[in-house]
Amino acid sequence: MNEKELLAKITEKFPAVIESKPAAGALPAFNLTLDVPAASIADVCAWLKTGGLKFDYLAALSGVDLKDKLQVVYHLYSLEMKHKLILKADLDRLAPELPSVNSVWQAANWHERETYDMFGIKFNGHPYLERILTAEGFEGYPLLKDFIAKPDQYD
Amino acid sequence: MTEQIKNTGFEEMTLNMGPQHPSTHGVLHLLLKMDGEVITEARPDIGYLHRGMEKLAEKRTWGANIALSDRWDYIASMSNNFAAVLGPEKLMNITVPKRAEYIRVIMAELNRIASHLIFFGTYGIDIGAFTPFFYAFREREMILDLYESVCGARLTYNYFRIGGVSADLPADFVPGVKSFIDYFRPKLKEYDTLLSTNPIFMDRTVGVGNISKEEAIDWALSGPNIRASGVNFDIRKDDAYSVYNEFDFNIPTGKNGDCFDRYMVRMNEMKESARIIEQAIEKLEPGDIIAKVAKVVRPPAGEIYTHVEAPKGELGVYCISDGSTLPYRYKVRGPSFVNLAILQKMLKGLKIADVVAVLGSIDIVLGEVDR
Repeated sequence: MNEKELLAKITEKFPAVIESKPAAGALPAFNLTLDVPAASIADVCAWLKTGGLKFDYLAALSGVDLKDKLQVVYHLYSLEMKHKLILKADLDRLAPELPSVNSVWQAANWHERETYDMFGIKFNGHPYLERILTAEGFEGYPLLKDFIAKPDQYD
Repeated sequence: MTEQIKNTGFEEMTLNMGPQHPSTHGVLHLLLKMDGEVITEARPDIGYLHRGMEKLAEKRTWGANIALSDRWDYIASMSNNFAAVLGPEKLMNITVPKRAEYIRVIMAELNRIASHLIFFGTYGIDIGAFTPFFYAFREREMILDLYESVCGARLTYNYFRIGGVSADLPADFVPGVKSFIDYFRPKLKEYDTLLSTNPIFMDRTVGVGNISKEEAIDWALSGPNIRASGVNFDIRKDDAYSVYNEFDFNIPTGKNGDCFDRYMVRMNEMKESARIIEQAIEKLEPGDIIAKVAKVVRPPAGEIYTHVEAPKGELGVYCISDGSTLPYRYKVRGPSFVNLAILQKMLKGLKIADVVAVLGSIDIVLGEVDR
């Protein structure tokens, strides 16, 4: 299935999902990239997995700090149909939260914990949303662009 | 809590395994809740080796990030280098010279053998067989010597460059690789007699820690772990990068997805890697080893997710460039991090003695889990 057919199928089911436009002066996207409203991300993902397009593999889930907003980026494949898709959900920088996709793909479990750890993004419905990589008692979210590292005993 | 605990008055026990434990291959802490010998809940606790690689990457130039990539999966640094250069190259639309492409493939496949040899050796030790370790490290040493002759380093190679590789092969490299392959092939049979067909080893691994096809996909396993469950997924074939589409090689897969299948897939992969190296050496021709690229690269604004088939699985890098000399965002999708997540599910219901067998069979490197 080529990217146009994929886009048509998804937007037919979810009219609120639109093709993502690269920022002014940036390269065009290498793969089909869609903007998904954050609140409906779990529904869209559940349908992508079960609704005939068979996106069964969550390759990566990343947080991005775009300074005026936060973003969660989902890289999906279908192992059976061999197509790729990128989803982006924009979040309010002051209260970043969106539904968890852990119930769609188990793989999201640690990815979401890592994103929470690094960006403070809350994934509602995650079974165990605790910090995963930073040390116990760590304060702040290190991958935010305005994070200021406090010198510790080793600095 | 089971009936037996209620009736006998025994309590559920919490057992801490690690962070210092020989079988964790680094610093990994497992929190195990036990009902007698049976695990009722397992919680891997990671982050002991967290160095903030993604934050560090944002403060380093695209080229300097190659040196940083050596420290992700530090026993397969060539594959990390590979993943680190593909993104900026694609953003800048650089065509890598053919000779450099073949050199890269040779390095990456030698590294796959070296990484699987470490697995073979340490997995033997995990199970209780000490001899394979010495055999494996003897062969790995030869690969490290070859690497040393090319780039001067034995662990953190920093050999790839954006657009090619940093140095041409020395004159004795190609004969060295050929004699290594000739030496190595019969050794694989030796390993089989040593460990693969050993009844004690098989008792410990066959039918232990099964992962079904559906589970493997759901948890997004990659590399030998997903292939052992019967899913034919290899990025070298499915999303061929570099010159991998020019080679003739098979993708070994397993059937049951148990510890033994994961072990066998790796052993068979070494054979295929040896085949790829031989073919790549045949295709090597004199030529440039690096494209004409500015010393300080500024990829145009844009973003890309590139991935390579590292020895452990899918190593992905999600680069966002804002057109400056530093990456705006540099996300590393380490295969070990994703593969380790399934452990909390796999260990449930297993006996305590199987923990080491299962953990070893996933083949993780903590440098990549924690980054």
